[in-house]
Amino acid sequence: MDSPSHIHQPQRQSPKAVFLILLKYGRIIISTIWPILLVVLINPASHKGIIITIIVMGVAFLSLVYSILSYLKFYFFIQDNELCVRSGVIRKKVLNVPFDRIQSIDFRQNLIHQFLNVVSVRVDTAGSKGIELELDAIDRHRAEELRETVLAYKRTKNDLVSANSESHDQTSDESIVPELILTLSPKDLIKIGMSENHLRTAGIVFAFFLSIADDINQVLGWDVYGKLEDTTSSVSLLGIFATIIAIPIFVGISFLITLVRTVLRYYGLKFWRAGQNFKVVSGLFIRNEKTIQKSKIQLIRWMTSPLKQIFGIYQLNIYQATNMEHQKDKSLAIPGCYLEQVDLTLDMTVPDFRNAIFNTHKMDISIVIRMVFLFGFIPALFFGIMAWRNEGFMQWFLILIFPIAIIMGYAYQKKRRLKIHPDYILSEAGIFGRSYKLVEIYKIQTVQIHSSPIQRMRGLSSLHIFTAGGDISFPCLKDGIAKQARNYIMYRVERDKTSWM
Amino acid sequence: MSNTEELFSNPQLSIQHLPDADQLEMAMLEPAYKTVRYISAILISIIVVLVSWFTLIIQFKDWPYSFYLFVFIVMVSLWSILYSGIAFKYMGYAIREKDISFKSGWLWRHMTTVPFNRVQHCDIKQGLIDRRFGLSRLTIYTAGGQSTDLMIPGLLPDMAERLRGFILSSTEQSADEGL
Repeated sequence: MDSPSHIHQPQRQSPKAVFLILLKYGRIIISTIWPILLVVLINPASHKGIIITIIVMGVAFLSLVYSILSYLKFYFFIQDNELCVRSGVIRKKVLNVPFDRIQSIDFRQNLIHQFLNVVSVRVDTAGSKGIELELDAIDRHRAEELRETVLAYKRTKNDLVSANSESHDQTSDESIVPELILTLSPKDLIKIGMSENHLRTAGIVFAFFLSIADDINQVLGWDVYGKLEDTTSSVSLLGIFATIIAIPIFVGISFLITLVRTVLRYYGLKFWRAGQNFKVVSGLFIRNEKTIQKSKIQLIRWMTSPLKQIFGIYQLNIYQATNMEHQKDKSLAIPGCYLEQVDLTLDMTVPDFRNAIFNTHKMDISIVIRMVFLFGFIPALFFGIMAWRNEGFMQWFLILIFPIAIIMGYAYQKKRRLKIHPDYILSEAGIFGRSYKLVEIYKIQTVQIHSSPIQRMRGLSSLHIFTAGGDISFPCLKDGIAKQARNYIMYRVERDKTSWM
Repeated sequence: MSNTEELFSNPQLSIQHLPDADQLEMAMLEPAYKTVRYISAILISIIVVLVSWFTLIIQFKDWPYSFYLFVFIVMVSLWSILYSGIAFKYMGYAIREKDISFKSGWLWRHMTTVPFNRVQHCDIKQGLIDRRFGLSRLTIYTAGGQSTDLMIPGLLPDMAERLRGFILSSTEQSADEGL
């Protein structure tokens, strides 16, 4: 490692960045003008084709020049505990991000990054006016150095704060030897892939098929819908045969896609604890490296589905404070944890939680009515209209909907729990599976209480608890309990001097 | 009310005697805001009715149900205008030493409570109609995301200014205590 003082001088990214910046622009340009390119490729000799080719070449050349320029004009460095970036080809931009405001520094490597041995660095900041900063490609050791500088700063600051308030010897001088919590083997990956939500993929595949059908319709003039209608409407032997074949193929495709997606995303996943941080590295083609500081964790969720229960695995999500737009990719997602690892992680983040005695509040039975309305009445109306317009197999759905909705409603009501402890709130849910959300009360931001006319008639209301990383909603709670909970949360939050992040 | 049920066992303090945000005197919004609500509801309804009239009565006039759907939309619009006036009576805010609550809604009632030590920032805005009636709206932002931002409309500008000053000073004060 070369002298760390280098990072305090303005410096460019790795020269390899030119290539990556070019690719980035290239991708943006191609994704906007691909239909034109298609025309050129299909019919290169035409008069229009030549002009377009020239334009495309020009754009390509300009973006090369622009990439080189933006590489040359991009400097980053550290100054007075701020990360500074100077950039801009035409208009100069200066961006200073104080270390205090940095939420997370994540690394990302796609195949090319991996090949060139560089990483792209994403710096996220907190607050509703969050700034995001991305370095396209810097050498790995430099990136580590950058992150270490920021984390070291935060550590010393945290120590100062905790030294002032309470005992700090437990965390004082952490040896930063990462402790491996979980590695996913290929076998684990297959388990996860098999137990993912196949219905969702099926939906995507179906939508994809529809859009393709539309394209084929336009380009080749085949009437895919018409053909489909022919086969489905006439109850011919061929139609039944086609359906019998199509369904397993459809299921098979969705299954395969989920499996491939899981492997791509979670390949070689490693979940560490390093001092006050959790770290996850995963991905086959695109390698993601995400870190969350323990003190920034707002909400922890772990869940299992019937399929996952067979393998005894859980999906664990750790949410940190976000500005809402990027919420999804700012959680650490660790699929394929066994209960042991979930417990281990919980012990590390909320040490007393597992011994805590909770008081359990169940959901009022009237939630069943709401569930039947949502999942019974509304779909029934929809299918009813469909069935009425073209009589067919839709009636069968109608007969099934209400029993299913009632069973689902009761299952939901039975499993839904709100568990309250002086320090924690735990929400349990699940119709088929099981899902848990845990919040430490002092991290709560806002509490809302809603009530509909029906709820008021029965003396109920809904409690919504918001943190900076996600929320817990609990409909149909006894009104008195919801209000007590709100009053208690306010009391705790207002008295607690611990910083929520 | 069955308050015999405990929120959680082993309470260190008697939960029932915690300050209850519902026992507060709610401050009403300025009466002029009722007119603002009516005007904006009417404007929105006019747009909705015009658009649906154009699509349903002119474009899809062959569709047998288009007239009924149109009537339905008109009824809903009228209802929403009426509702906006009635709901005004149920809007109000209350400030305590360490938090602020805002309630709204007639049939579906909402109440949001934000502790001052979780406030990120506040701003004061004036809509076009607000300005004509000399009203401002105060928005209080937390890190909990958009759905938790607390917006109090229908305030007199100097009242909004005073509220903001009070909230910000309370937020600062709690931040100082925290360190």
